[in-house]
Amino acid sequence: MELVIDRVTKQYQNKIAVDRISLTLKKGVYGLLGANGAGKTTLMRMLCGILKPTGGTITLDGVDVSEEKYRAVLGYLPQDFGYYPEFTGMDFLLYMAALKGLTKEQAKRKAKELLELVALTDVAKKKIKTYSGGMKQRLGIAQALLNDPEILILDEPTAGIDPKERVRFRNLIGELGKDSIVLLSTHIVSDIERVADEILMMKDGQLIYQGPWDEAKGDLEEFYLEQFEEEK
Amino acid sequence: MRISKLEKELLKQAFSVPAPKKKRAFLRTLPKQEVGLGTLILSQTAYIRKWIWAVSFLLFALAALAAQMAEQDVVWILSAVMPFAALLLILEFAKSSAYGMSELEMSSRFSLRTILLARMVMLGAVQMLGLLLTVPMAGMTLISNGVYLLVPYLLTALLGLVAVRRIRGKEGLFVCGSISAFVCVLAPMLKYVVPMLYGQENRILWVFAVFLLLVGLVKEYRTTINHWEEFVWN
Repeated sequence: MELVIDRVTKQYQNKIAVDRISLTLKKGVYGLLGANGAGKTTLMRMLCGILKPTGGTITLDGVDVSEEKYRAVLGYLPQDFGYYPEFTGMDFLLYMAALKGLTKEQAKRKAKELLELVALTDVAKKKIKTYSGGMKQRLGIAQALLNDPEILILDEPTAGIDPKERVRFRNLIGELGKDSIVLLSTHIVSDIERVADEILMMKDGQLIYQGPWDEAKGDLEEFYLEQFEEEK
Repeated sequence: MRISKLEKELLKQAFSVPAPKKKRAFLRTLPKQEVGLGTLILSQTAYIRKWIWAVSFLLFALAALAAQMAEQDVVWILSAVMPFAALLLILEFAKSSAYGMSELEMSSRFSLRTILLARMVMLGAVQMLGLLLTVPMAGMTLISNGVYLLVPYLLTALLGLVAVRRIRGKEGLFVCGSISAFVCVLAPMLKYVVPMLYGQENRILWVFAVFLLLVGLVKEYRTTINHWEEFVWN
């Protein structure tokens, strides 16, 4: 399993949001760090086929990002996502499962399993509008896992989740990284430090660091903050 | 040899179940049951809001009732209803972006283009069925009066699509409402201002208008979908 990102660029009129990024991702957890506006979300959206790259290609074992076959093995949690007001937590998962091509039986089984995993079984039949921010985020994580994705892209997955849930979620990501390519972005450096096999750091649309991080290299948070200071 | 319930229970007590190894990797090797496009289209019918179905039904029921009671101008009663039926179609189309679901829907296996088209086709087909049933009840024939009803429907749908593409969020939906109200009064107004437009000799113009609007609608649908990433970006 190999996700190849080859000279991917996204340009909006006079702004280059992502600038010729090349990467090869294999099974494991990749932590994406960068300040606001560094291009993380744009890169993630291109990896999900939501935004078309201005240049370059994205392929998973030779399958292009624009193909249905690629999306069939993709799980994505956007930074912000909405929901239809009439949906309960269970409705939301069943709806997403239908879009992901699961049969009714598979969808019901998987939705129950995931609601339990994210500790939402008790409120599965309640409208999402009654959920707290953390509960919504957990529901978002659950929908990303519905199709047992080979590529899992999580944009700020721990935002709004309480510390206890965050630890549980970190462990889950570690497990998922054994069989899938997991790319997650967050501002919480400690989350990435603990769970990511490799660190990717972006600044002004470019990749400024790629590779594993160990103690010998110093404090990751300090290094990360240095990049901010330079920007100021 | 079959194991009895008791034996099963004893086995459970004697040995603890080992944790599964490489369960996910194994499950991935199993052939997946694929959901076809037809099943997806049908499943989307359930996700069209209930009140959209209810209002669609109510519109045609009221139109049929009013047309039966009225002795003349039946065609204008029906043509006044059509823009509101088209408005329901646009409201359903714009639902995804209005509630911030586009990003999730765009990244799922079946593309947003397919999902929206499925919903439009289902709702549009039911509305056309409503029209097919209402027209004879009003004592008209679809061949002679159908074009007068299709033009306001298609015109509202086309202008509504342009509006939701150009004006984002709930404001776009308000504009769609205004468009349908405008088209609703436009048809009867034209009848009094330019009565010859509805003469037998000008029927071909209406047929041509239906064709043009259909082409425009397909083109606008494609443009809107192709520009969907701008919605996400903004």
